[in-house]
Amino acid sequence: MLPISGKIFLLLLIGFILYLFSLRTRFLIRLLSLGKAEDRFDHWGERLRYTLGQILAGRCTLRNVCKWDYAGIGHLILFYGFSLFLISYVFHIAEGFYKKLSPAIFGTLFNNFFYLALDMAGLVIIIVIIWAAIRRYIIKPERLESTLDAGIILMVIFSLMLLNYGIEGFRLLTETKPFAEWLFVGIVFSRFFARLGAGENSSIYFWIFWWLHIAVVFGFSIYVLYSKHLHIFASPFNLFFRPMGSKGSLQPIEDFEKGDNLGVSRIVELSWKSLLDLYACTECGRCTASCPASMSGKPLKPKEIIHNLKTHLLCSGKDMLFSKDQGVKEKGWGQQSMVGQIVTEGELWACTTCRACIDVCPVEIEHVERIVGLRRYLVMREARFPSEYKKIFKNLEIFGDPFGAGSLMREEWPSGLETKKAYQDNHIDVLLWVGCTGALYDEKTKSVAVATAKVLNKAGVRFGILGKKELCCGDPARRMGNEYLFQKLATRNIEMMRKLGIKKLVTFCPHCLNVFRNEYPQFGADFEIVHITEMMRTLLENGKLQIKAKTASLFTYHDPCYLGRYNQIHQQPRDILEFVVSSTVREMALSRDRALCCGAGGGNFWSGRTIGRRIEGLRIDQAIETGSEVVVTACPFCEIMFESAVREKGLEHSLKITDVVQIIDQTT
Amino acid sequence: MTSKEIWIFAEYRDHEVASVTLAMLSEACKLAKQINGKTCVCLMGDKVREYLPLLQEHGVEKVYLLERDIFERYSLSVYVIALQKLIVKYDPLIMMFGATSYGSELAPRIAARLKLLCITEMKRIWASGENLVIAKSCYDDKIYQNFDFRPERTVVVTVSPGDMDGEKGDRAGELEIVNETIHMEIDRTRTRTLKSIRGDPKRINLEEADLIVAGGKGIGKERTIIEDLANILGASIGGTRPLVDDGTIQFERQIGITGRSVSPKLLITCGISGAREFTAGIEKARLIIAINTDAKAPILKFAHLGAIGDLHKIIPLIIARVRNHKENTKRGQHQ
Repeated sequence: MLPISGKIFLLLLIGFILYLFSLRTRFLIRLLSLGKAEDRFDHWGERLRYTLGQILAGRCTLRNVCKWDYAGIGHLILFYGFSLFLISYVFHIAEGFYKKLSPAIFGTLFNNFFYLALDMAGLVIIIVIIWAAIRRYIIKPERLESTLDAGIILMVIFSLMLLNYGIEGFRLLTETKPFAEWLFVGIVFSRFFARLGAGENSSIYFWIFWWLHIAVVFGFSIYVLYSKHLHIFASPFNLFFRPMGSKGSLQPIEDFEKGDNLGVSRIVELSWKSLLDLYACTECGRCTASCPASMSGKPLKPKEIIHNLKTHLLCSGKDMLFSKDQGVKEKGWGQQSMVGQIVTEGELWACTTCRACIDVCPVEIEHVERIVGLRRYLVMREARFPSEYKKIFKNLEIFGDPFGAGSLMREEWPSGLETKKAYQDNHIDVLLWVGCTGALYDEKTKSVAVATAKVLNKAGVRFGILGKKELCCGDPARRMGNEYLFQKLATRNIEMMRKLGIKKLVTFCPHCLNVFRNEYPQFGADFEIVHITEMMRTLLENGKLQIKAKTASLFTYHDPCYLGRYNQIHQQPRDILEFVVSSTVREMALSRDRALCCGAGGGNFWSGRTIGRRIEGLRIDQAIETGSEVVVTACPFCEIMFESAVREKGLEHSLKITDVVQIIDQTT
Repeated sequence: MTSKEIWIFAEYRDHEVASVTLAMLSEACKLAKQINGKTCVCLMGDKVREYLPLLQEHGVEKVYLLERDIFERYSLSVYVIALQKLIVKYDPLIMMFGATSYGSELAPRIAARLKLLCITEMKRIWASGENLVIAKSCYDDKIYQNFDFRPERTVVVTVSPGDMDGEKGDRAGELEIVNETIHMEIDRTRTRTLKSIRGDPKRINLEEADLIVAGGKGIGKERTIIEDLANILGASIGGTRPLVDDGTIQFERQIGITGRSVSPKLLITCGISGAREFTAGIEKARLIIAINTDAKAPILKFAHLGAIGDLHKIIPLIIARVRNHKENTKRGQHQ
């Protein structure tokens, strides 16, 4: 217990630290308030439960643990251990004021167990910290940077452990009765100090260590607000305010007519949640490590974007708040457009919207929404986009498909088959939504459409197609940032379906599936759509489809991003393959939620000049590693990309690309 | 009331009349027969009488000849003013331009200056009673619009090259030549063409090239084989994405869905299998010749003519033939 002067000083110190803390916190929160409004205050209970579950059960770090990256376990240990120490700090400070405010107020047993746990935790934390340092500074895995910030944090935690043991050691020396029974590490320290001859002045040393410890704790608590460690405060909120809607949807623009909402160019045109993302980033680098663009040498590194935006926000924050306080009406509070300065166009267009970065992020930062927001600005306000996309937009506007084939061509692929046109006869159970790629691209994709029709016929499903009335679902337009064009297409499609009284759809294109299932409801649509693999799995299970003979090749299955990560349809295609293939599917190193994108998404199917390697080539290399003869997938875009990669590698005769539906057709 | 003269703006280069001019002539002759009108051309330039016999062959009955040094090189402001004055003076029924780079800028300007009806990308024109019917192409040839109207004043139209067939009209009896000296205030012209430079096929934009030799994976690592062919033909070089990826050709020369869309008069593909990614860029090529070892290659569905064999053997034969032909022609000219 401190003397009166000490207590007063401690009180003043606490007051001062609280003041600094609140100053910085207020600044950070005020910066958030500069961002656009966004309603993330719904479903409080669900949000709270989710957040607590993620943090307390350590799910946010454990979900990333895999055979090549088990850092999450170390982090979880650190989290639990340090939480214990936080409790000890409360006692530490309280005891400074009043000696009795120690863990002993809960009983001697509790006290002893508490300090035993603390001693154990201290050791474990030291080991974890040393390992973390070795990893970051000596082994240097690619996703981790050897920054000063990280080093400081590691050293501070390390020193806090040592200081704690030091305090224990000296306290044991200076007090007649040990303050806890099972301080097995504390005792070692006290004996060591005694041997050094510090026993005589142990009281002084105790207080020195005690104040040093306080200083480091207080100092660190302020330092945290200025470093990447801010994530410890920001990430719980980030998890709490996570998007609750469907994974696969991008937010629409309301009120196009107002015209002030066309995409993001200045930092404050991001929503406050998007700005909170920047605080929550732990700089773990997992996003960059799982990004197909990064892996293939493109300029996009998601972590860099977050870091650069964060730096920009914090640097220009003071000026922006000042402008706001002055009542300046200028857009963006005096800040310039971020595109070109903070984020380059090369980074923005390289994104394939695969969502690997979001799924792997422990604090669930919404990368894709931000990138598309910036794309919207480039497309709709600046008309600055890759020149290849001009033709795509024009084709979508005029012909209703990105290839410019025209609506009549959509009725070519079923020639020879008896397919109902839903606009002539709507006595159908389900509408087969073919999609532009399936109907129009080339013989390969058309054969997938044909296989789908045949299989539906075999299963006795009464289906129809829209044929020339089908318009592009709009997915390319929305991902490329042309939200206006997307909404035009969406409203026309929805209107047409209503007119024809269509309620149920099935499709083999995951992009169409995603748009219909997760995005058209934003415009009042109320359809039920399934992917062909969902339907087929049920039909096979119910025996509505009879398998005549299984096929026997060595298969691997590629999870399309828009089917797997976006819509959690991983298992159904695999179950189907179990029915129709005699061998077990050989999984690639990255599969299911970790699957590597084929590279076509986000408009990149039409993207011209390529820097670095081709993403589809990377993925085919992974397929080759499994020793498979056939790559099975469930998305026409993936199929086109892989066919191209196979051709370029000259492997047409040894590696086949096929759709799940085609195998079903062959075997039933 | 307009006269019944159908005027065509004649374009020429290097002692040859443009094929679009000849094509327009054939359509004009058909119309002239229907309405009992006269097929005329506006021929502007310096020393252009050499084209008259050919024009007469194709059915021109009357020539408005503007032969002056200021018309020697095409210049937008000069030509516009001259044509404007002519039209005001003679009031033809129709003024036809090819939708070339010249015609496409002359036609709307004249129409705007004189507040005349202007219909672009005309496909056909015929008479229906007192009315004219003009069929116009819309949306990349996906639909045609018919304009059925009674012409009160001169109608300006443009015709896309390649949209009409140049069937020869009947040779007219006498060719009537009207020499016009248009008074031009030179200082009112805002531009003056100082020099015309022929585009170097090696450097022009692939989308504007008339002749293209395109290489695919089949050519191997050496691009000399297609370079030699392109040089002897005066063609531009294009290629598929793999060639760009391994640095054989520049990205500007990539043809296909993520590259250029080309519309040459002649495209020779060498060692290209014809995946959709490539063929999407050649849909507007007039004549496609494909050289490939695989008789089942998809390119052959697109090509008008296919040569199945090793391009390393076939191309040198082509080059030798072309070289031979050129030398013979040269010798022939000298004689």
